[in-house]
Amino acid sequence: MSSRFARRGRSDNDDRTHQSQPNPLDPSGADHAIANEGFRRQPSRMLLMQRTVGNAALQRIMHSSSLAAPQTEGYDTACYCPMCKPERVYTDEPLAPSVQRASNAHDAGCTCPACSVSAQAQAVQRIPYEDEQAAGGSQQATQGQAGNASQNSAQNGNDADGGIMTVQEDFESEETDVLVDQGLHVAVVSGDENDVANVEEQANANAPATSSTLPGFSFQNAGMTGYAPIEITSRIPVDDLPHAFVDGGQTGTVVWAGGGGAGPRGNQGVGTIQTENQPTYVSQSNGVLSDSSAWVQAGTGDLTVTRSWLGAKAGDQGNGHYVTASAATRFNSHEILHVNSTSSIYNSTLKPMLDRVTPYRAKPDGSQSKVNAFFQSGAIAALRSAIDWGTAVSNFQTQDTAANAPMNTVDNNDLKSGTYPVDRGPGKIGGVDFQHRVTLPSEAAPT
Amino acid sequence: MKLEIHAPPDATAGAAVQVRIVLLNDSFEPVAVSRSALTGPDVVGVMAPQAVEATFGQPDEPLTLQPFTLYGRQREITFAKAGETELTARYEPTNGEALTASKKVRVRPAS
Repeated sequence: MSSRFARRGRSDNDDRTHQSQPNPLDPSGADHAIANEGFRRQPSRMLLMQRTVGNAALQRIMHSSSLAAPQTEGYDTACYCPMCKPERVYTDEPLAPSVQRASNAHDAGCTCPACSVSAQAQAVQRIPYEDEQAAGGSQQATQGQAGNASQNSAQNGNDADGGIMTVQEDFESEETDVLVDQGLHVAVVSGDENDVANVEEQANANAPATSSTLPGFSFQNAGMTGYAPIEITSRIPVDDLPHAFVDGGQTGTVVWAGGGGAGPRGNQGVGTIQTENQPTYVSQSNGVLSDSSAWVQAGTGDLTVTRSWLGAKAGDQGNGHYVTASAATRFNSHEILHVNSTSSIYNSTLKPMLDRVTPYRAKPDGSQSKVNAFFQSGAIAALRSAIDWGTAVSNFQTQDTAANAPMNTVDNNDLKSGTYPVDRGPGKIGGVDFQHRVTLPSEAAPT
Repeated sequence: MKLEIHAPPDATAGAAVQVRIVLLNDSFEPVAVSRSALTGPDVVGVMAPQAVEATFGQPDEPLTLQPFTLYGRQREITFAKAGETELTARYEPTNGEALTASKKVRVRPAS
């Protein structure tokens, strides 16, 4: 059985819940550490094993003291109980009985009155994490209590009063932040301060009320962070960022300031979450006759989604393109559409989940809400199910990608709006030749 | 009336190609054409401003196409990614039947 977990969870982490005796077949105790590592990664597996093979067998898997050679001290060599293996001993002593038991012939679980050692199985106790090892003295103390009182709950698998179990959310969100060309030759122009102020004012005016101006919100509308020159070609975006339109990059025939530049676009990949502090679930046993409680550890269970974007600047782009002020504003409003879309998805997927976390997050006075179940692992499982962190994050990423990835819902709808800027082709503006004159559909071509 | 796209069947990624759309009066009668109703050539699947006439959105003087004469537009397009790309053009007069045309271009990787 231990080899099964060895394949799944081999690690250098050792068993830190108890002092184990060396196994003659495995003096390092590595097999048990590996099995425990498997349980640490998937606590639900421990509960499943407990229900399947029983608590005593599970102890033998988890604790090297059970798998190791039977304890030799404290056993009566003349033990008569049927659990222990009889052994014929040949000796030169004439009065010695012909059949007796060697000290190592005892069953590890021998509980006969002749033996002074009662090798009862220890209660299942999850292995603490490193950060828990480094926690304050009070937590260490509660772990000690659990160990001392473990015999009281050996058969039902529930820790004694005060035992602490912590499980960290193990959902792994997708890595969708593919930023291939972010930061490469993006000509961010500081521009005239008045222009920046005007565009930012416009951006803020169009921004939703759920911006960073509201404290406590974990969606941050960081607004426009700079300008990106506009160039119109058929480039298909490969950076997985929301694009107002696709940049032309370096064509090989047109050289322009900034090299392979980018048009207005988002700075963060679609579906990305900028900071994610997954919840750590804590459960405390209230004794074998009471339900265990579970809550979320303080300082965990929060995330932040940030969206910002590069905007367009009106006028000569320096690359044969001319963008009118109205078209530049329209490009920027397109970026705000992406931000608003992501904000809406955040509000429908992540925010309700975070709202579910809040009442369960530990408070200094312990007044947080708790989920109760008989087993500690059951309480944690119920709490995880109630919060459902992984589903919420997965839904956010899926929906954000479906809406805001290049040429997905937001882009297609905006193209069909009839107000997206158009390219009126070559012409002179102010006596200067431009290959592309970009305007709103409703405004006349500038001259 | 006939709408056509003239573009090379193959192109190289990163290199510009000339693409023309042609509106041909293939009838034996003169036809009044709205130049602002002709859009393209555009690349499908790219978030880019549509290629339009300079008078797009504004009142424009109808152009009379005599029999077997044509009116068109040329644009320079650079394909960035290798693969098959579709070009489209559209003629949507206020009164009359809309015409659409599309053409696929195979884009070779840049050497």
